[in-house]
Parts: sequence; structure tokens; C-alpha cells
Amino acid sequence: MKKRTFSLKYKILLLLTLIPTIALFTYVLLAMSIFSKDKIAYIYDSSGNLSQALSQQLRVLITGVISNNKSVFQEFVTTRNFSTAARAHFENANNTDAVLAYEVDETTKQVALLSMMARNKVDYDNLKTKIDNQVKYEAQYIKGNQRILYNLDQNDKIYFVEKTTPEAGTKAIYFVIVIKVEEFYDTFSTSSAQQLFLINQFGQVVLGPGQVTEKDISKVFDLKFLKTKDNRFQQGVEETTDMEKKEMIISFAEIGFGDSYVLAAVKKELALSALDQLVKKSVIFFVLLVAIIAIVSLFASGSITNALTQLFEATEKVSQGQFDIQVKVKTSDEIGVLADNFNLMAKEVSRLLEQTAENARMQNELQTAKTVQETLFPDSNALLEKIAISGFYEPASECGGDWWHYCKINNRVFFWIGDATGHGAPSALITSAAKSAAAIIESLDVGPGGAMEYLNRCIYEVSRGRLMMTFFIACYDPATKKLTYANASHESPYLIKKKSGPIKKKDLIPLNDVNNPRLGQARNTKYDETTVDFDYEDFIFFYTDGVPDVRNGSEAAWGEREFLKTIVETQTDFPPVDVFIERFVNKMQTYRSGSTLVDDVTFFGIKNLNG
Amino acid sequence: MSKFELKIDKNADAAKISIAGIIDEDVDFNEYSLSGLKQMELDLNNVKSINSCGIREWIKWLGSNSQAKMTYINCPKIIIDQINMVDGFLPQNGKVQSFYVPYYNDDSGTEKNVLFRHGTEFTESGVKPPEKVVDEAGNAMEMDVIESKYFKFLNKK
Repeated sequence: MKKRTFSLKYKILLLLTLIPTIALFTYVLLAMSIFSKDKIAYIYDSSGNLSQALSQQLRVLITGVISNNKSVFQEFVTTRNFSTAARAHFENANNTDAVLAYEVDETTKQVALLSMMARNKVDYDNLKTKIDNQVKYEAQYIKGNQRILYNLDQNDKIYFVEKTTPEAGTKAIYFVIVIKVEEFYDTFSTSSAQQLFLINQFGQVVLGPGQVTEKDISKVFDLKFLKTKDNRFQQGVEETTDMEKKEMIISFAEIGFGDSYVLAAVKKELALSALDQLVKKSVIFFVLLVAIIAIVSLFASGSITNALTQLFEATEKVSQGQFDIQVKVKTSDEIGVLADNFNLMAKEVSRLLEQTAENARMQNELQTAKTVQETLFPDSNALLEKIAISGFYEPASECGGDWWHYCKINNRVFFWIGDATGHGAPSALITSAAKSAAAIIESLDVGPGGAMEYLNRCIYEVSRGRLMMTFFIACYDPATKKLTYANASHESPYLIKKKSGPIKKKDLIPLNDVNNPRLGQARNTKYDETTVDFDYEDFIFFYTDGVPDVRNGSEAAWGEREFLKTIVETQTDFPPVDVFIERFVNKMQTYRSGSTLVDDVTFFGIKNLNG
Repeated sequence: MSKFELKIDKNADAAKISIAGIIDEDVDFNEYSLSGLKQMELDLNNVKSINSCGIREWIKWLGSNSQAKMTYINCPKIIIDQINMVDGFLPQNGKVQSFYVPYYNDDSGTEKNVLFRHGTEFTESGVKPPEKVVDEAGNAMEMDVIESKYFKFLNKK
């Protein structure tokens, strides 16, 4: 028997757990991937919308301020002074915190403040130096009408320089316009999850989160779109890293004023925190589900394999020769049916084993009976009172119902032949009884008829009418050379008188002058007897009905015609009786060709040598 | 044909019984009651074989109504053989009305069963066989039995 390695229970458990786990894992991965892409797209979209909205609002604000002050600027270029009307206009323009007018010699790059309108003039006295420097910078380095946004260090104020084109021989007028952007400042400076930046074309932070002190945006983020000097994208989203090398998602939108941009930056980790939450919850749910599957699978595999384990243990017991076992499986599925069939098989095997043992025992007993029965038969060849005797006997099974015998009683020779009903062990028991009775009768001084009556009583007492026996008893008296016989419904023997020349069928003389019921039919049957001459070299053939009933391979009986013909042909030269029997046996066996006998076969011949 | 078949055609206290097939230990004659019958005619034409156990059952069955007069008709050779051999196979008050005698031509190997009828081919005083029995080719046939044995039963009555 093979050694058990990996238990079927664990195989089923592994299978039941692994398949849903793989399916679930694949599903989670797929769902996360789709959700992640969708989430990033959403972040891109919302971040882009925010930067666009802010840039649009700023553009509206700045262009509004320029447009609002355009007439003031034109007047100043002419008068070199802010008129009363201009100052009144300034006072009404809430968004404009200050307007400073500079005269700039673009050749020498000399600048000089001509006039100023400011809501709080003191502030600008302190800032004047910075603004002067910025104007000088613009005069020196900024060509044409490029507009650049700056921060005025007061954070909620931004400014830019609006240049005028000078007439020939005059100096240019540069207007520095300071805009108060409190709302934008609050929006930009307090932004936390999403950091907002307003940057100018040099990448300088004009407005930004309060926590970011760095004024150069390139030192805050590594932005690719800013590295392109010309043809920058007006808007877009870019993934980059901050100074701490943390991944960032940054959307940008051009304001439409001096290459300034609004940036909306968010940490990717933060943006995808919902995704992380989903992942964490999914993992918990996944582990929980796998655990449930494993527990359910454990019970399921247990219920399946428990029955199989019982069957396995039962088969082990069977292999050890223990068949009186029953597997107790209550399920009505295939395994239940298998267990029922196994129980039936074990029961049947157990029964067959018992039957085989019983058959073997019976076979042994039959073999013993056969051995015992063989002792009931005399030697095949004998010579008694100059009567030569030769016989043959073959039972159809281990034990037979035929019996033949000869013996000498008071100088007379008795010949016995009988055939019990049927054949086999029951019939053999009757022949045994007949032999026992014959042994007693041999001590009595009776003729064949008397012997038959004793024999009948014995058989009747033994079988009580259930089994009977045909019988023929003959007695030869050498003194008279006569044969006396009695018949209990047995096949009549044939007497063949010695004659010259070949014998024919009509020379067969059946000894049938007397006949009475079979032995065992009635308790007190009387048996008649009669006498015939049995002279020198006369021959008598005794037989049972199994002889003409011998079958060949085609199940065809030998038949009476061939049987009689064989007797005639074999006896035609009046051979010695043992030669006759040998010839007869050969012819019968030739016809039989090894076929199984359907009935016991017994015959013997006697020849009178008393000359 | 089944293994054994028995039909009883009763008419008052008389019955015509047809038997066919094999008579052996498997036949249960108790199914066929003979009580009340005074006259029975048994047609045995189709009996194929009978063994020693069948003979025992047969004698027991017919003995259950030993008062009835019995007539055997169309007896094949196997029945006649049993009548001759087994005392009691034909009850004391029974007689054979007709029986078959096998004929045989040794040269051509042809066989024929000739029906012998009471009053025609045989009487109580003896057998009067047909003067000549021929096969289909006209070959003369001879009796395929030992007459002293086969007709022995006639001497009993």
C-alpha cells in the first residue's frame, strides 16, 4: 500500500481557499488600478480647474486695474502730474493701493520719481528704495512692454510696471501700480492641502503659502514647463517632486499677464490618501474574507474528507483481512452512495468468504466421503467359484448413487447392482446403507428375493420414501449352474448365451421375468425371484441407466441402440470378461470424449468358466 | 416449449391430461390435483425425458388417486422403458392404449416411430406389428428394440 503523503483534506482545503483567494486578489488589484487611475484623473481635473479659476480671476483683476487707470496715465504723460480728477479716480478705485510715476531716461537708465498716489503714503516712503531699484532694473533689463508681477514684501500687495513710449526728445514715464489682493493673499497663504502659488516669468513667487518662505519656485519644485523659455503651455498638470523628494502633482494655468502662472500643488501621497484608505480597507476586507473562506473550506473539506477517511480506514482494515466492518456515513451524496456500496461490497465479500470456507469444508468432507465410498466397492476383477468378474464404476460427482458388489455365500456367488435416486452425496449415503445391509445379509441364508426384502426394509427405514433405489440381485449356484435373480425396478441385465458364430442384438436376453417396486418405496414389499440357466461361457452384463445416457461434447446421449450395438460387437468373439470390460470402457470413453457425466456410470460383466 | 407443461381438461369425473417436456425433480405435481376423478386419459406424446426423481414424483402423484382408471396414450419409448423397468410406473388399474415403437434402417440410418394402437397393432394376447414398415425412400425398416424387453409390459395385463 502506498504511503499517504499530503492529505486529501488539505488538498481540498488548499483548493477551496486558493481559488477564491486568487480570484479575490485579482479583483482587488484590478479595482485598485481602475480606482487609482480614476482618482488621479479626478485630481488632475480638479487641480487644473482650481489653477485656471484663480488665474482667470487674477487676470480680470489686473486687466481691470490697467483699464481703469489708462486715462489717468495718458493725462499724466501730458501734464507730468496727477490731477485732482485723477486722484479722485484713484480714491474710488479700491483695488489700486498706489500708483507711482517715474521718469526714466532709457539711454542713461536714470530714474526719478515724479509723483505718487497712495492710500497710505508712509508705507511707500519705506518701500521707495525697493521700488526705485525695481524700476531701474526694469529700465535696464526689461525690453518693450513686458509686464512682470512683483511682490511688495507686504504680501497682500503685488505690483507691476506699466511703461509708456516716449515721444522723440522726451523721457519715458514708468507707472508702478500696486494692487491690494487681500482675498487672493488669504487664498494663497492659507492653502494647506493644496498649495497655491502665483509666480512671475522669472519663477519668483509673488503669492504663495505662508509656510513656504522660498521665493524662487525652482527651489521649491522641479518644474519642467518653466524650463521652457518659449512657447510654454498655457495650462497643464505635471508630476514632479518637491525639495524633500516627495511626489507632487502640480497643475498650472497662465494668467495671461506677463507670463505669470498660478500653480496648484498637492502632495501625491495626500491626493491619493483616499486610495490608501481604500487599499487598507480592501486589505482588511480581503484578509477577513480569506479567513472566512478558509474556515468555511475547513468545515467543507472536513465533511468531505471525514467520510473518505472513514472509507480509507475501512479499506485498510479490508486489506488486513477484516471484512466485518460497516462505514457510517450519513450523507446522501456520491460519497454516501459510495459508502453504502462499500458496505454492501464488504458484506458480500464477507459472505463469499464464509461461503468459500464452507464450500472448502464441504469439499473436504465430500473428498472424505469419496474416499470412504471407494471402500464400499469391490476389486474390479475377481474369480469366484469359476465365475470371472470384471467391472467399472465412475461417479458423476465426488460421490455417486450407484453401487455394485459381489460376494460368496455358502458356495453361492451373489451379484449386486443398484442405483439410488439422483446422484451425489445424498445418494451416496443410501448406497452406504445398502452396503451395510448387504454385509449383514451375507451372513444370512437367503436367496435374492429375501436379500432384496431385507435391503428394501433397510433403505425404507433410512430414507423414509424420500430416496429410493433400483436394485438387481443375482445368485449363481455352481452346483446347479443356475442363476436366480430378483429385480427392484432396475435395468434388466443382458444374458448372452455361448453360441458359435457372431452374436446379434436378438441374442441379448433381458433378465426381466420378475420385477417389483424400487427399494424404499414401501416398507414390506415382497420381491419375486426366478431362475435361468447360466452355463459354461455364458455371459451376463449388468449396468445402471447412466451408461446409455453418457453424453458426448454435443450433449447427445449415447442411446440404447449404440449401447446395445457396443455390447454385441464387444462380446461377439466371447472374449475374457476383463477384456470385454476394457473394450467396452474404451468405446464408451471414445464416444464421451472427456465430457462430464450427467449420471453415475456402473457396469460389470460375469462369465461362467465352470465347464 | 417450456421445461414442463401439463394441461388438464376435466369433464365431470373424467379428465384428459396432456403432459409435455421434462419430468424431473423440479416438477411439482401437487399443483395438479387428481382428487374426484374416476377416469383419466394421459397423453404422453410430448414427454421428452424423465429421470429417477421424476419417476418418484410421478408414482407419488398417480398414487394420490389410485382408484381412478388410467389410460396412457401416445406413449413414447422413454415412457414404455419406464413402464417396463419401474414397477408401479403404470398403476395396477392403468393400461396403455397406444404407444410408439421405434423403427430403424441400418443402411440409410433413417428412424421412424410407429404408433401401435390397442386392438390394431397389439392386444392383450400379443403384438401384431405392421407387416412392413418403410421409410420415405421406401427402404424396409426393422424394429429398433429388443422385443422381449420392450413389449414385456403387455404380458403384465
